[in-house]
Amino acid sequence: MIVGSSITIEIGDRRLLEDASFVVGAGEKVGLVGRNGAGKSSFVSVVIGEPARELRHSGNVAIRGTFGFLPQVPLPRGLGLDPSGFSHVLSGRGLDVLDDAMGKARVQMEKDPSPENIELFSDLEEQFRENGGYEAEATMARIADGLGLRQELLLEEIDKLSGGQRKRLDLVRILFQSPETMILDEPTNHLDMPAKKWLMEELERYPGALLVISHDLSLLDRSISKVLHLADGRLHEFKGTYSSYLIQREESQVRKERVSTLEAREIKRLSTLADSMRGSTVRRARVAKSIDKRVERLESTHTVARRRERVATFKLPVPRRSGGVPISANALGVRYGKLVVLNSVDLSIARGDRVVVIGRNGAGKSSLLRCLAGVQEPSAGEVKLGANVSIGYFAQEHEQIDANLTALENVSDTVLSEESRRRALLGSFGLPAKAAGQLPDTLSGGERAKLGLAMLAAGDANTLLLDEPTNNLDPASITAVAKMLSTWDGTIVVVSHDRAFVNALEPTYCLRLPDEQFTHWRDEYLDEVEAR
Amino acid sequence: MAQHGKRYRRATEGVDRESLYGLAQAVDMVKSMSSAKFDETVELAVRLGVDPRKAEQIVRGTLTLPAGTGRTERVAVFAAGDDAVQARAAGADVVGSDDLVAKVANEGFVDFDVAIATPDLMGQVGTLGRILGPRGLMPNPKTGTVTTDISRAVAEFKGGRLEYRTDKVGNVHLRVGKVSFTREQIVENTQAVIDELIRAKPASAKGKYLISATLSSTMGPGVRIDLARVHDVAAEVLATSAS
Repeated sequence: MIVGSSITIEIGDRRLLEDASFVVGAGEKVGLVGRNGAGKSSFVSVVIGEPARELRHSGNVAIRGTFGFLPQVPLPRGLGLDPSGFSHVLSGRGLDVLDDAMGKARVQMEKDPSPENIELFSDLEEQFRENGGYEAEATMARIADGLGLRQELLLEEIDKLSGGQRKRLDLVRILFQSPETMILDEPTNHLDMPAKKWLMEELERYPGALLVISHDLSLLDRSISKVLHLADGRLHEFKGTYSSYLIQREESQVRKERVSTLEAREIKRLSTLADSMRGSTVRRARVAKSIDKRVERLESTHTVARRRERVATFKLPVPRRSGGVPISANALGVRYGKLVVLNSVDLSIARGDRVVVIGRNGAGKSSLLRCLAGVQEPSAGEVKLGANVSIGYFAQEHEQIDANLTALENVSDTVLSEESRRRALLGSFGLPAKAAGQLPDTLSGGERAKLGLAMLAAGDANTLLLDEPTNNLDPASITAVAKMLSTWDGTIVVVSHDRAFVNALEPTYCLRLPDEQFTHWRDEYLDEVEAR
Repeated sequence: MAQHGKRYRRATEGVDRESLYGLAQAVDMVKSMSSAKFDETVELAVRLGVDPRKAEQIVRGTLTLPAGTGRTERVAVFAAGDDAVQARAAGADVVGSDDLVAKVANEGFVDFDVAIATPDLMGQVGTLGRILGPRGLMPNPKTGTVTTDISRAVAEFKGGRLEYRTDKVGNVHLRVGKVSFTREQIVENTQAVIDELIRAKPASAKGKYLISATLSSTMGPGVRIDLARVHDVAAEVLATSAS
């Protein structure tokens, strides 16, 4: 159960939330919605008591009982005693520590079977059993299977897992932990449709309190009992399912707009009437004054309808003409220790091609893009860039963004020399004006993605390498990105699991992993796009 | 949800699931409603007013039922030397030290209901956690299964000593006999369980402690017992049978 009262959150000179109060009751399933940058993740960070340094906040939040939190961006090393995924998951119930302590106590007991040593071992064994230690592997296997994470990956070191596998591992951990309250930030980001459905069914059965931020809330529609909508610094509460929230919100918006229009019309009418009475007789001047007072009263209680969210439109500059074959790879191989990720990739991408890289999590898609972008040395083979090629790289975890520079400073001034144009560019990608001065770490996941796209737009790239560019973006922005890329004349290589996005992109070629087949695009490959 | 069979449904017709019955009457009803083709076990489920998430409120222990359980437990003993001899003499079904540890570890041998160990062998028995642990067979001093007095432990477990502990939601489940037992035997055993649970009440448990108790046979419906009258009725029944 979560109880929050009078919460105000500010970052820089942006007020994300003002005087908000809410309750997530025991067993209640609550969706938290709002556009990118509205402050959802910041709000959640305050709720769990781990706000970023840059956030200023006031008010009270209390979480009763145990709770688990799934962050939008996974922690780099994990939380287990050793760096394996297995240990990370066990740590959800403290079983990694217990298992280790039990092993030590057993060795001690073997050396000296004193009553104290036996009792210590027995206590630890009992706790291990109580916390489900003996069923841990079976439980973990069931969850991993549902989420489409191969079980052998649980034994791998976390650092060797791909972004998608890492996110799934965190999901396995929190579902294994099964706390009394669960707070999930974009849990479906890296999941394919079967895994999304499985997760939502699992969450439906979950008996505890749930607060979830997701752009896939429609999948959890039946079990959502309340929606908190974060917009314009206010937390609006809607009772009912997600679909009923959408209807209620639209009705409320229409009602407010109508009332606001009627009030504005009345204010205008009265003001005009008062103006016409002034400069005449004393009596008429007195009436005008009383009308003015009425106008003042009306203005002070004037209903303000929330501005409707703008339909986003993003734009890339016209690219310089590159050579006929901007990128080609010859027997490109990538391996991490003994793990062979890419064996021998051969491809030749022509100017204007839109290439989609398809493959399950861990197939080597991100490694390939890193090699093509020149940020990673391949283990074998070579990458050749054609004449006049300028690469624009969008990394999955946004590594291309310098964390020590502000959003505005990250936008290159080589093409846009005037600051006002760079600010306008950020604005055109949906970043609020005040976000320009913020450090990237203080931006939301969606805002960071938009900053990454704006950085591409500010450069003179004619070949884009995009690794999951739509992750963390709201649906309107995803449509805008797809539209922007489909009409762009440059060369694009993209990794994405978003079916609608890939479809809108109208690809020409496809690289299928792990088969390493570079072929013409066919619409039936769309089914493989979603496979994780 | 699984549907009940004809026999079960017929049996439930005679029970009001909301009413509380006196212990003797409940025993009679359970016995009369048993229609399986084997000697069903009579089980007692007691809901306790404890918070099992708090370690200090876990109710656990062992007790010996005065009329026995109606079942002979298979007892395995991890002991060497004189202790092993004592265990065999006391009637242990399986006795061994390194050899038994190896048999459990390599062959997954767990054909026993209770495992008892002497302290000096606990170091080796501890390695069997993955096999014994999930079945609740890991010896533990708190349940009297790690002991130097092997012959007494074996005799007690063979004689109907039971382990009990609260489950995740604060219920305790125990068998209190067989349908073939007499009414007096089941009443006596039930009373012993209730007494033991009252004795084991955690100091930190707040509010009503014994919330409800239900008696049932393996395949029969449950009959709720009026806990307030357990002792009166039990005394009456026992007095009647004595006279």
